[in-house]
Formats: sequence, C-alpha cells, structure tokens
Amino acid sequence: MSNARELSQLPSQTGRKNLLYNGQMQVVQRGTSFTGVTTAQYTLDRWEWASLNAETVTIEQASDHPSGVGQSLKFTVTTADASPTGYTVFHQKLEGADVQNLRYGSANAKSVTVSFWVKASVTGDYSVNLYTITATAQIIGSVITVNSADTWEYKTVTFVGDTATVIPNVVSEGLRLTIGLAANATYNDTDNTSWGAYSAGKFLYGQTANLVGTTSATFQMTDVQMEVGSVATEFEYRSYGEELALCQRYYQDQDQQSIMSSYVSAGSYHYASHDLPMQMRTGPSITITYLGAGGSLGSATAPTVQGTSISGTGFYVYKASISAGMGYTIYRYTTDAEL
Amino acid sequence: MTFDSVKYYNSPMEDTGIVAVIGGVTVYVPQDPANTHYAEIMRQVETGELTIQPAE
Repeated sequence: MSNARELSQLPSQTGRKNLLYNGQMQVVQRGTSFTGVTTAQYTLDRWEWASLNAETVTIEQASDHPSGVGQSLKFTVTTADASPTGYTVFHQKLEGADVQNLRYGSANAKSVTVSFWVKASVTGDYSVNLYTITATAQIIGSVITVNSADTWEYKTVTFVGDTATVIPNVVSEGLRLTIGLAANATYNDTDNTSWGAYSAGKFLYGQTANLVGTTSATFQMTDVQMEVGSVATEFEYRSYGEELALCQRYYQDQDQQSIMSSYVSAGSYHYASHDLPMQMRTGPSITITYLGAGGSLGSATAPTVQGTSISGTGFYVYKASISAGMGYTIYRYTTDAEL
Repeated sequence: MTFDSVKYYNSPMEDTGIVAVIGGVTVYVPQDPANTHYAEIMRQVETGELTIQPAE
C-alpha cells in the first residue's frame, strides 16, 4: 500500500468475522430431530433451546433455506401453552476468551451486528438480546419484526458495545445471544434497549409474538451471524469440516470405540485411552453406550471412565475381565464441554 | 438442571470420580470447575438442593 487512500480501501475486518458457531445449521452431532422436547437442551450443535413455559416441541434440522439450498433450524410446537407463564428462547453461549476483541468495559467497546434469516408462522415482534456473564450480568436488547407468516425474511440488529463492564477473559461463558420465541409480562416489561444490569423483566423486552400458544406453530432460522461493526455483511460460509471442528470444542460423538484384550486372567482390569480429535474447552462430561462384547470382556456392560483421567484432550476407560482369555467390548461415547 | 442422582465412585487406580444420572442417562463428570455439570452440581450442593452420595 502506497498511500492513505489505498489503506482506506482495506476491508474493515479480516479473517473470520462470524462470532457464532454453526450459523448455517449444518452440524448436527446430537441428531437431526428432537421430538417431545419439554426441558432445556442442546439441539443442532451449539444452539440450546430453553423454556419456562409448558409447551412440547420438535426441533429439527430442516432442508429449507431462503436460497433454496441449505439447512435451517426448525422449531414446531406440538402441544401449545396457551397462557405462557415464563419464556421460550434459543440461545448460543460464547466463551469470554473468544469475545475479548469486543473490548467491553473500555471506551473502545465495539458494536456488533446480528443478522439472520427467519421464517415463522406467527407474525409480530421477537426479542433479540445480548447478555454478558460478568460479576453483575448486563443485558441489551432489541426486536425483529416478522411481517409475513411462513415467509423467509432477512433481519438485522445492531448493539452498541458495553463501555462499562469487562467480560472476563476465561474459557467459561462470557456472552450470550438470545432469540426469544415467547414471553409473559414477567420477562418482557422492562426496557432493555441500552446496556444495564440484568433483571427478569428486561430479558425479552418487546417480545409480543407468542409462538408457543398455537399448536403446529413454526419458527425457522438460518445463516445466523454476529459480527463486529454496525453493518450486516454477507453471511460467512464455512466448510462442513471447519464448522464441525469448531463445534467439537464443545461436544463430540465418537462411534465404534473398543477395548481389546490379549490373553488375561479372570478379574483383571483392562484400559483403553481415548485421545479426543479436537481439544475441548475443558474436561468434558462423558456418556458411554454399550454396543457389544465378547470373550473375557464379554459382560454386557460399557466400560467405566476413570474419573481423574478426564481432560480436554482425552480420558481413560477400564473394564474387568470375567474370565481368562482374550476379549473385547465395543461402545460409543459422547463428550460434552458445552457452556 | 435436574440430576436424578450423583455419587462418587472409586476406580481400580484408587482415585475417585463422580457419576451422575441426568434424565436417565449415566454421565461421568470431571471434578473441574469449568465443567458445566460439575459447576451446577457444586452449586446445588452449596444451596442444599443436592447431596453427592458416597462411593459404594
């Protein structure tokens, strides 16, 4: 670059711009469809559904995208709650360490812009907010308006940076994006349009749409992006492998693992070590599902995790032999280090 | 988060782990404050909502 004019033509931001994970809803390690959902849970990778209402829902990866090619997250009410007493939301939690570039708590705090495509059967205003996990949690919110039922619409919301409160530089939760689906007055009656201490009334301020009040109501979203700056730009496409690797920092599903033993005596213990393909955020919670076994390791049980071996890079399992000889046990495991 | 049960267990290496049952699913939980399940277990223990059962 030879002069100031050329410098000014550089993009304002280089490298990865989308602060969110799995915005294009392509990674589904936990499955493609979740039925009979009534309690908070992760669904498509990194997207958690939470509700204090009484509805029952299905959440799935839908082959429906505004471009005609791609996926979206689809939420369908299967049993309505006509008089919600709480809130219903989707949210995504980000590590404090990953949002230090926002410079919150300083005069240089940066604005961020959230953009996404939405298709909902219920028109009206839906709350969108940012919530920081600090000593005193802070919140700022806005709304997007769904104008036409069952029609893809593109929405953007810009939030100014919080100059007052620092987000801790930790691998625990630091910032949360929430998209509201329903709220009663307890959760939407206090203005949240500027940064301030969280209160229940601020949580979904402005939310008028009640998506959970109608059986078969639907809500879809895709190409969800949060980027530094006050202008929404084109959605940042990531390859499946790249997005999967990013999501595996928080959750992994590994099939067809095994313990194999050579000739052993009865009652001895056998170990297998598992190196995780992607280092996780912290030591994960682990579930093991038994798939099969034979020989000296033939008892129909999954191996046990050695508790102190769990770290972000791997863990050990063990199992006792039931007889002398060779044997095996096959299983799958999931590791969960979500926020 | 609701835990069906939480208890300690001893391994052949003579160390102690924590195993929880959440929604009917057995989950091995590391004793790591940054782990969301462990943090919630400790919070509920602190408030008296939950007791970690001793190892058998």
